[in-house]
Amino acid sequence: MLDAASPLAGLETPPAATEVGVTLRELSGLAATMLRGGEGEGLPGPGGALELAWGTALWAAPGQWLLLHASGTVPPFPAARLTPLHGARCVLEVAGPRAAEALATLLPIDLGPRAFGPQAAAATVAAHVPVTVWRSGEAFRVSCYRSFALSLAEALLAAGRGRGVRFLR
Amino acid sequence: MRLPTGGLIDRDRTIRFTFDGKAYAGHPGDTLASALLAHGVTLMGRSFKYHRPRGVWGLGSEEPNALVELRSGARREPNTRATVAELYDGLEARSQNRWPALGFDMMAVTQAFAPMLNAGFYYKTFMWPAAFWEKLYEPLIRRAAGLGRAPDAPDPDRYEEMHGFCDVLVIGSGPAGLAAALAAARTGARVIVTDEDARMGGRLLADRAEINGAPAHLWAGQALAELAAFPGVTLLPRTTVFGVFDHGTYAAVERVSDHLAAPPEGMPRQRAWHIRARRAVLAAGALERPIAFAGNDLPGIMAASALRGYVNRYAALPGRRAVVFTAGDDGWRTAADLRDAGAEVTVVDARPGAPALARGVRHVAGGRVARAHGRLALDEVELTTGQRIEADLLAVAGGWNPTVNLTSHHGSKPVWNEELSAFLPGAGIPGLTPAGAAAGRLTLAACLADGARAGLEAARQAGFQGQPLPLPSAEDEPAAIAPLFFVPGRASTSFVDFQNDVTADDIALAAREGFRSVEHAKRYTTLGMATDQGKTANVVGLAILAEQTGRTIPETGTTMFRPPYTPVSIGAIAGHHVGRGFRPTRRTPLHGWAARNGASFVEVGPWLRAEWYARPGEKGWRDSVDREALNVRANAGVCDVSTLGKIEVVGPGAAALLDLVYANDISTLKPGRIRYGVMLREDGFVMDDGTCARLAADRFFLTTTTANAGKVMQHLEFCHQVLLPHLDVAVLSVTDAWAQVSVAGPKSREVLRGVLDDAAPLALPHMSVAEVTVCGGTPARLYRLSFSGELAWEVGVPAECGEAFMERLMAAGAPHGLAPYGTEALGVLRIEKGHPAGGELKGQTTAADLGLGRMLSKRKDFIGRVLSQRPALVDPARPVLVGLRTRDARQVLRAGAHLLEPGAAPSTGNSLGHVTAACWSPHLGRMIGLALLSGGRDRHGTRIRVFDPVRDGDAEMEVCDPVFLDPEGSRTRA
Repeated sequence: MLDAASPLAGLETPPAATEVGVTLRELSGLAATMLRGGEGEGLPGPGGALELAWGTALWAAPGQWLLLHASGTVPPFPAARLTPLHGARCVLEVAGPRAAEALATLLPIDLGPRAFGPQAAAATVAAHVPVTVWRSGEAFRVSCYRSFALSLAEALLAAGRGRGVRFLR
Repeated sequence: MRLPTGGLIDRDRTIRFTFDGKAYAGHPGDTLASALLAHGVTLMGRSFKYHRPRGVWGLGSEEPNALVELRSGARREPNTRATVAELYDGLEARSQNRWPALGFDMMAVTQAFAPMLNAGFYYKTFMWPAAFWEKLYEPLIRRAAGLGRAPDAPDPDRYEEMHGFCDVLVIGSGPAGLAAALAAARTGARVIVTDEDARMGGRLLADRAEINGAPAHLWAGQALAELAAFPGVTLLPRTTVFGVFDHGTYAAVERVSDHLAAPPEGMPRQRAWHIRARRAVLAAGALERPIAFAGNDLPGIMAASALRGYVNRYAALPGRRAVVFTAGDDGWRTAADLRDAGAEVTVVDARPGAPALARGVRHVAGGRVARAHGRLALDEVELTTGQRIEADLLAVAGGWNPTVNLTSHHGSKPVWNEELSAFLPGAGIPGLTPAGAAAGRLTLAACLADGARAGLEAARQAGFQGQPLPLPSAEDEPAAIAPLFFVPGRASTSFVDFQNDVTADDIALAAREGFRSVEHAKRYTTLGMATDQGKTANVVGLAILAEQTGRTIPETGTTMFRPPYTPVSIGAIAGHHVGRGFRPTRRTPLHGWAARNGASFVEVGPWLRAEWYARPGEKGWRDSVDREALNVRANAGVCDVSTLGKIEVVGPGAAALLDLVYANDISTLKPGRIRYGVMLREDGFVMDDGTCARLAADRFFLTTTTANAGKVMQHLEFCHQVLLPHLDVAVLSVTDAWAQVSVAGPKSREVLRGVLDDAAPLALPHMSVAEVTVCGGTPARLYRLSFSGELAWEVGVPAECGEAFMERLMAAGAPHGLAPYGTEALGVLRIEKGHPAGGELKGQTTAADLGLGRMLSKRKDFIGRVLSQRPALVDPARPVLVGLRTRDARQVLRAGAHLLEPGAAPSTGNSLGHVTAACWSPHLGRMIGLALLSGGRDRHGTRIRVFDPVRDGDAEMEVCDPVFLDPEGSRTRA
């Protein structure tokens, strides 16, 4: 088997802030799979994300879900309905007391708890990068196409500047 | 002078600053204007056109006169209003538009030419001779015009964008704004309150008024403290809402670090807010307007409300003997405040019968100021009766203009109100309610009540329930007004628009010359066209135009305000989209590997692709590209093709969808096989080409060109969702899932043997696909297809394994001479094989033009089928794809050159086509190219003139088949 590489290998990270307001972390070891057809199977509806035993399901389009799961595992659906995407998505976790504020510099959507509560997900853009964003507990997760990962991470680090950003390797 | 007590400044701390090199001191809480006024400095600038001495007129962002240059070097900032520039230690300010000095400005001679410089001066003066315009007039005007100097180095600061969401946006934090915010916040609504000022409170900080029996600014403090305690309330001081857009979108700029010498580490200089508000309350207050009379622009002449603001908020009294010229009750408040501050005060009330509203001041009932005298500052005020009053301050209270600006941004026209002699907001601004002074309620108690009502109403409309705000006790001060806009007299120095130096004379001239429409008069005189958008000027100008044209003000109409409310720096609008952040970059999974192996990169849309891999000793790019191309045909090369669009079409309806989309047959393709495919647009032209691999009965893998990946994806989704919605099929972008390389060359089979776990699939025929594993169990796909004309495969591995795979592949290929090649060598190889790409797939070529006409299916319908048979598209004279061959190694061929019949005159009409791609072919030892040539297929073997007037190219070359190498394709099938 070949070793997996992070799309953020070339990322220049700022010195860790003393008072941390925002942490940024790549969720490595994740694989993405597209699922076709899954209505009535307990999967989230439009604008939804659901953490399940085998991973996270995100509504992607009518009859389509993006499944994120540990690399090397296969989500429990018939193979004919799955399309493996391997490491096609980079998932970044943005956490910390000033995470929502930092994200608000990039995301043109309302991240307030009334509009974007638990299990909410949105397909939107951050610094012209198409992203999917959802809540995971107190933290936010932002996924983008792997090829955009470095640009997105740079934009997130810039958003964290002045807010005590720390990149967790 | 600074009054011994009072004011909302921190007297315990001192701030040092300079103005025109001279050192001054102020206190935290001061603006540059207030600190200078406290030193008795009233002269702060020179006017735009006539270089007349000017001082402070206003108290806030409406200031038309006191424009200064702040800071130095890359942070030099011209035309900043001294009235909003907060003081900081070390602030450097300079006056502008004067030479050699503010007190002695040589350019003031322009005043002598004032009769010539009036309205329409440009149009009349610089008419002839025409040749003088470019060489003499324009450079001259450019040099003379303008105020400050822009910085000439890149902006060193960072700017930030911020997206804010709220139920109720309150614009302005005076009495109406604070009451609105409290009423809304108490319902539980999310509230954003903005105010231009560093300190919130609006006129409550500037007027001596009482709320609940105590100074009003104390109530403001309590209200702000209560608001700050709500978790759903955001207070944004130093923030100007400058534009109103559709669907409750408001643009604002927050001056995060403008009050500091430089932004603290990590902090932006300014922050541009996009605020989405369900409802908004416009509590922007009102601005006091001037009265036009001779010499009304001298330093020392100020808005009455501004002067009392300087006295009350900043304890700054810039004179001793004051005249208050008022058209209404309001001026009397200034008179009382000046009197209590120790000034000697004369009130000139234009209303003959109006009673005195303050004791201890002289009162000239029914008086009018005819002219102000003085050189660099006011000395004397002359009344229309000829009476002269010695004075160093003249406070002008011409009445109030509600700040309706933002209501105009939706196209709502302000409405004239006779009682207030002012324009009020028009109706029908979706989601925006004006309140308080902005709605024409100009007194304190009325503002509080109106704000509280508007705030609650806004919250209710946003879906919240709440009780009316218990109103604090306050009084309505006398506010009667009689309209007075100008005092007839020497109109040539009666200024209407201070910032653009527009006088009453100019407006009268415009009216005489037929510019009766308010929009025409505005443009002819430039009234209201300065950066202050005529905040103080417009209504006075309209009144004069109305008088001159014998109409009422409402008959005359008004011009509209546009965004931005106040000037906004481009940096704030650009936000982080500068430099590398201008747009995102896409990097392939092999980017790091390529960078480590000498690649230089070229931008292809958002992608960075390796263009060639330079080796030591190579003198230029051609050396690298020739070596790479030769190596592919001699040994084997590997090229990163991960950027090509990859789409999987999955589901029982996949074949039917693709049959519609591709011009050639797809449903007949057997699983495990690949077909080259062409898509047409609806209009019959070629949209894109690529390969289509059938992985299973219900699963296809498509490739597109890098440039068209998004367009093809969109097209497929459109075709599915709109044309064939009944099909059970999903169209999935899988571009980022695969690190894909092309391994090409006679030794590529040996190379791949070194990485495939099972070499058997290498025996599959050309145009086959197989699922394989590589390097000990990593899943991969092996596609046998060729773009280079050589024996070749493409291998796709999971994106995250790309770099590791590349290392293993290079090691396996080393004994066989494997070397990477970039997009330039790829281009050479494809031109040698005559494959169409960007220059040929340009949206104006048909399949037949490109030699692909036979691919169009005869047995099915497909997009573009009918229109591809239009007469013009099947015209035999259409330019078709041909090859061009230079005669020897020295001849140069360039893309873009036109093709002419030898001997024909070079003209557009004689052009038979053009060169679409050209390169040096290291295999043929000369330049070759592809071209679109009329009747080209019958011209193979003939000569054509290749004419390139732009780059001095003119030579005859040979037309040939576009496939230069191995036309039988035996190498590919080896």
